[in-house]
Order: sequence, then C-alpha cells, then structure tokens
Amino acid sequence: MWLRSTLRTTDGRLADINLVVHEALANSVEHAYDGRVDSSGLICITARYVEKTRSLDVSIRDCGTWLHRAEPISGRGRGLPIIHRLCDQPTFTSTPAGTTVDLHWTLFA
Amino acid sequence: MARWIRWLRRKPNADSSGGRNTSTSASLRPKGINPFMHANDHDRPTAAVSGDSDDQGLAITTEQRGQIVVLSVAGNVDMVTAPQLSHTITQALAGAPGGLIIDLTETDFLASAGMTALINAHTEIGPEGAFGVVAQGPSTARPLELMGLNKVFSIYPDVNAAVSAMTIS
Repeated sequence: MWLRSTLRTTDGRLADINLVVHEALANSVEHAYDGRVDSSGLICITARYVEKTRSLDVSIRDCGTWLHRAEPISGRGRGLPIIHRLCDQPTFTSTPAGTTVDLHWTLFA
Repeated sequence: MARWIRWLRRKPNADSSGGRNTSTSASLRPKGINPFMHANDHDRPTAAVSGDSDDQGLAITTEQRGQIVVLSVAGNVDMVTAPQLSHTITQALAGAPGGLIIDLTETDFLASAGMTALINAHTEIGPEGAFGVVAQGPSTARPLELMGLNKVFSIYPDVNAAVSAMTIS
C-alpha cells in the first residue's frame, strides 16, 4: 500500500486519512455531480507527502457547482463533520469552475 | 467509493526506493455511478446471506441468538452499500426482535453513510429493543468513537460480549 509504505504512521492515522479522503470524494459526487445516474464528471486527486516535515497534502478537485441542498441525500450529512474531526486542516474553495478540498495532515512518528 | 480509495492506495509505488517526496495524482471519471438513487436497491434479494462481497455489495449474515438478531456485515459499508445494510436492518426489525446487534468484525471500511445506517437502526428499534454494535480496530471502532457514536449506542469488542450484555439488560 502506497500510504502504509510511504507514510509509516499508525494504523489509526492511516484509517483516518482513508476515511477523510473517501468522504471528500463522496461530497464531490453528492454536491458537484448531484449523484446523477448518468453523470460523468471529472474528479482529480493529488497527494503529496514531504518526508522532511512529515506533512501529507491531499487535494480533491471537481468541476461541478457546489450545491447547497435544502435536504441532504439520505444517508449523508456526516461527511463534513468527519472531515473536520479527522483532518488537521481542511479547506474548501468553491469557484464557478469547481470545488477544491485541500486536506492536510502532519504525521507524528 | 472505497474502490477509489483502494485504487489510490494501490497506485504503483513508483518511488519505493524510499524517496523523500512522493506524490501521485489521478483523474477519475466516475461514469454511471449513482450511489443514492438506485430504485432497485430495496428489491435486492436478502436471505440468510445477502449480496456478495465484491466491490459493489456487502455479505450480511443473519443469526438468531435467543431474542436477539445478529447481523454480521462483511465488506465496505459506504454510500453505495449502506442502503443494502439499511434494507437488511429493516427486514430484521420487521420480526420485532428483542434486540439487534450489528457485527462489524468483518467490515473493512465504514464511511459516514454506514454510521448513519447504524444511527437509524438504533432509532428504529426504539426504546423497547436493545441495540448494540460490535466493532474493533482502526477501520470501524475508531471512527465510531471519534465521532462520539459510542455515546449514542453501545459498542462491544465481540458478539458474545454484546449478547451477554444485552441479554442481562
């Protein structure tokens, strides 16, 4: 596993990263592409780890318009709290061209 | 979705020589995925073992322990598969069991949609029935506890502990 062999951190932290990235992707599918059956949208993921500072940055960019739903899709609604709780420094940038979620972790040995 | 993450994790370790900076990037085109609105989700057959454990489905085993129904869930519980879990839970609750245990011992990954399914099950069974979740480890127990759900319902390390605790109470 790229994460495990590269980051050399605890299983708990790896699980956090896995879950947060998953939730960010889920948000893109839900908000940007509206969960449409026929939707075909591009999502770009970039991950960068700097050993010297033990910092991991994951960027997830979609090309959709951020939808503010009156009612969340059934079963959702806990994605953002998870991202905020399990990620050191999440930022959300929304423009007409799309939304970028930047996730940052500092991994202590 | 978990497939994507696994795919990301599987990305060739191009820098396995121990490079200082490692990065990977990917463009994903999720064609035809609709995790939410599969009208047929609720028509999926559910027997003692429902679904299969491929990327799309959960393998859910139903076991009766006295008055308590134990649903053991294998696979990834995410927004694609959570409706299958919810459907099986609803079926189990239709039999008005004395208690319901969701066993996540064999669950590899639990996303927010799965947590919501657990909360809904806890709400559905109501004050008359007992509800417990079996979870251990970084993929299930850890996120449940970090999100404070151990204060919403009881989490046990194994099925026997859950059955004992819920039978006494």
